[in-house]
Amino acid sequence: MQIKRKAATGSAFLAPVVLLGALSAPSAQALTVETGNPDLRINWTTDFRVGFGWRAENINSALGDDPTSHQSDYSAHSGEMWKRRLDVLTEVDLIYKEDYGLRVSATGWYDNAYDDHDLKGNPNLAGISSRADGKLSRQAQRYYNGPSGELLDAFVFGRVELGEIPVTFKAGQHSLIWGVSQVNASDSVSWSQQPANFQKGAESPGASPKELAMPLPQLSFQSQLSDRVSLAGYYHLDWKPNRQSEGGTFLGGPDFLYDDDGRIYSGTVPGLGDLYIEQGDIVDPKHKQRGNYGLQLSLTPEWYDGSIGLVYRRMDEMQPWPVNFEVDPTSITGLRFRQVYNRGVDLFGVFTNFNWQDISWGSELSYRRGTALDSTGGPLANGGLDGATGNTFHFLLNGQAQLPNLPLYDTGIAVAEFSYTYLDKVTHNEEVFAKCSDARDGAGCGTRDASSLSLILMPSWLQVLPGIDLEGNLTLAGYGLHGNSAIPTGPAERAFAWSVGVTADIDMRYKIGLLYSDASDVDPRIGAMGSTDRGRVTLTFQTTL
Amino acid sequence: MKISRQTMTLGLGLSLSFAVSLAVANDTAAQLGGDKLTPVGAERAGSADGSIPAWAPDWKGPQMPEKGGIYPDPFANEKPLFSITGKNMDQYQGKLSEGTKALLQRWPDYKVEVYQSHRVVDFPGWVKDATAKNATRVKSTEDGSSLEGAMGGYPYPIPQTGADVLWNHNLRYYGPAYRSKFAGYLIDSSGNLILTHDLENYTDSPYHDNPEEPQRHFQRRLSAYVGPARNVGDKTLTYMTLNFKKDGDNKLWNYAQGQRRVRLAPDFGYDSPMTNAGGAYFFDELGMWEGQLDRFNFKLVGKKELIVPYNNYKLLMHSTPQEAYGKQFANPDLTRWETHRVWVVEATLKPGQRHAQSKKVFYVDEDSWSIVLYEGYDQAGKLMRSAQGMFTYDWNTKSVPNTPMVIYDLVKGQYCSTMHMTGGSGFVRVDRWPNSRLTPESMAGSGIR
Repeated sequence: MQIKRKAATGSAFLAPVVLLGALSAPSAQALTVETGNPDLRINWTTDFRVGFGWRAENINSALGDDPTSHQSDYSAHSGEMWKRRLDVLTEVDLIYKEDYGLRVSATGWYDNAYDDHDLKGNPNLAGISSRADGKLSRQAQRYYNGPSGELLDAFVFGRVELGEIPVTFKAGQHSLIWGVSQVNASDSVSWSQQPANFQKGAESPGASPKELAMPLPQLSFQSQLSDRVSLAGYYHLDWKPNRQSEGGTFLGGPDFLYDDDGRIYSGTVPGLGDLYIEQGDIVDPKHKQRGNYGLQLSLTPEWYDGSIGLVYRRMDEMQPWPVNFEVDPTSITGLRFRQVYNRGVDLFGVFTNFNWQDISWGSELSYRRGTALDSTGGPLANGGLDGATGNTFHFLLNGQAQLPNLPLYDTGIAVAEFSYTYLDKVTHNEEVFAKCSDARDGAGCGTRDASSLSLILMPSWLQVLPGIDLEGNLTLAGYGLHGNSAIPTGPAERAFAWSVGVTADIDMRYKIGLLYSDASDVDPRIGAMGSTDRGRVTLTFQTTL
Repeated sequence: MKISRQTMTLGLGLSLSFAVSLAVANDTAAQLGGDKLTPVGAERAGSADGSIPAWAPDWKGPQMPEKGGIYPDPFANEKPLFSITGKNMDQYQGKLSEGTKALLQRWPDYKVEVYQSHRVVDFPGWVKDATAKNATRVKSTEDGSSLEGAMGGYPYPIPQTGADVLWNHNLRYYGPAYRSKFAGYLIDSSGNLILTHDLENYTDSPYHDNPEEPQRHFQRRLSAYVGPARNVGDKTLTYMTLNFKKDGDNKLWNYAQGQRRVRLAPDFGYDSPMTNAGGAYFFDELGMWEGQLDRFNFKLVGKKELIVPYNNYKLLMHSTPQEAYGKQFANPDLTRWETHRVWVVEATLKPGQRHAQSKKVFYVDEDSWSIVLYEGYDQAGKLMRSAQGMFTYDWNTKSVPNTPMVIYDLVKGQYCSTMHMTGGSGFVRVDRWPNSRLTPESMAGSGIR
């Protein structure tokens, strides 16, 4: 049985779009605590972000009439609010003599729009629910409704001299993103380096990269071996998956994902009633304390005006095969499904960053061995739970430049990124590799190669009124130029996500942003880059209180 | 290495002009430090009317902390000799820059308080020696956009072109490596004081720290933001090159929070408006001049006796921002002007080049080679920018650290102060950091946020 949609893979692009969040970060109230000791400095900042969202597009019957996606789609009608959310991010740095100290950060949230935990749905599909209790999953209740919070960074840092070589290190919960990717994380050397918060990336414009690249307990170091050579590395002490848009929420993909107790509707049989394929335990890495590490060598050779990075990483992936079937004799349907995370991938990569013709260019080339590929879900004849895996090549080329001088704006930045994915070989479970016969086929299938283009334009209008700067944003994320990516995330031909908006920056302290976001795809496939009928308006206030 | 036809033509031209400059150079070396010129090329004597004193290198400033920091105001008790406003400025026509006149005409309550001039700027012996040697060994391109051969001191103590003067400004001696914590402000068109940046900075100059060997870079700056709140944790690293054609352009790297990685910034320079300052000034107006000289022709107009901002210890280091910056202009009661001799350089946009300005005019102090006044004119020839350099002299190390500036955006009616020291640390001398602390990778590795 084939699931007709790639489960919300578009979000893999939307979140990394906010890798650029640094350029429009939340405003905050800072406190530099006077310690009386000139060697000791304490920074304490707290960001507040209040966001309201309205649906602007009607429910598309292809999604709204589908028993596996109607509960997400009906969570708000056009014109209704789907978000009334408060986010708080508080951060404390304690720095001793520049080089030593600790950092703790935490985030909290509450969204009033999700106070009612009962799932909505298509009235014509009453009774059909991807969740047996008819309520939002525990994940959704915690991360959408709240009020709740979580610790983000919690680490100590310091510096040692190994002979002549200085080494800086961090120990504890923190995040690192290597490489030069600006939008596309699926094809980057940073794939699965940190769990990505796709949920916040999709629904919370203005979320900081500090919230979107979720920290993990790890040990990391950087050392300048010589003026031109630097070595860096990390070792993860725990593994966590990407956080997805939950079923039953406004931006949810399939209703039955991603918590561990969703079920897939598979038909109604007179006499038996509604039949569901139940979910089994999630299959994730058994030994989370090992198996995820990386090493990076950075070179700035005399003959080259930029820098070159060489990367080796070993990882367990953080994006699952969302639906892998196994035979279940105890079930009427004969099947059970599992979310399965692929383990033991080797990544070899090289990247560079240099300026040329006034543009800051970045490029990456990586090879992944044993990486997860688009899978049909099986079940496998041998009873195994994994999907297809194989070897792939990935290429990225991006540029950051100043917008050309035009009277339309005062100044601005443009970012463009091209990606190319190439499937070299399917090495395991080839019988469940979801190969497309046509790139416009149902989502979740892969072609030999695929490419995409992303573009972000950010013009600024400075001091349009005293104290007020305006920044516009036009984003096209992951437009599939050709082919469907053979890996579970990544572009699909002619599918893309996009957004347009403007933010007012007042006195360099407060921000008010208005954004329209949507996703688009070719018929009959809907939603390779996010469900196409969730056109929405968000209004965000970022302020100091 | 490819040699383009253009370079070859230049080469021929250069060999001729090189011969000429060599002759001048030998002459120069003889004159510097003699009875007419100071060792860095200023005129020793005072002015005919006595408003400018003779050079006073043996001046000793008051006691200051050993490592520097906030400097005491050596002239705190002085009172202005006279005051200029829009009403009486005609009396002083010849001694005021166009930019200063524009401010006097714009606001009836704007004043220029003129004090006794003090020519106290001097430099260490080795800077003066290197300056003399540079006369015979420095080479520059036709348009002056690149520099080669200069080491450790001022490259053009006797300038022939406008570009020579700007290189002297670029390579003014800022002293041994220093840290400074300072804040920048935008005073918007409604008079609101807005914090644009509060940062801790490390600056050094390989050019000055290694006066015996040719260097690629003449300034390295690592800045870590401690304000405004949303910028806490941001870091930038800047390297400035002497010879763009050989060693590449100036570079700026930005640190990305949460990802803890760095990226080269695209070449924002020239007339890109500073977005963190409401666009009140362009990238090339930072410190009144920063960046590459290749888009303008720099003409050396000559020398003038002019009333310029000078010795502004009080404004920068001993006044709070609220005291120093009023709704429309910096507090004239706290701003100190003196009469000095300055070099006047007029830069006009080269045909075919693009820039929002058609002309820039720089007024450069003869003793310190710091830009003390600056004007920018738009494409229609109208004055759009008037700036004042508030440099301070560090008499402990005999140097002039990087120039704070107050710049007026006459179009939008706003102004900025870029390096206010009160509440910060002033310029604190430190041991030079090892190169390993100043690479982009180590900026990433030591990133906290």
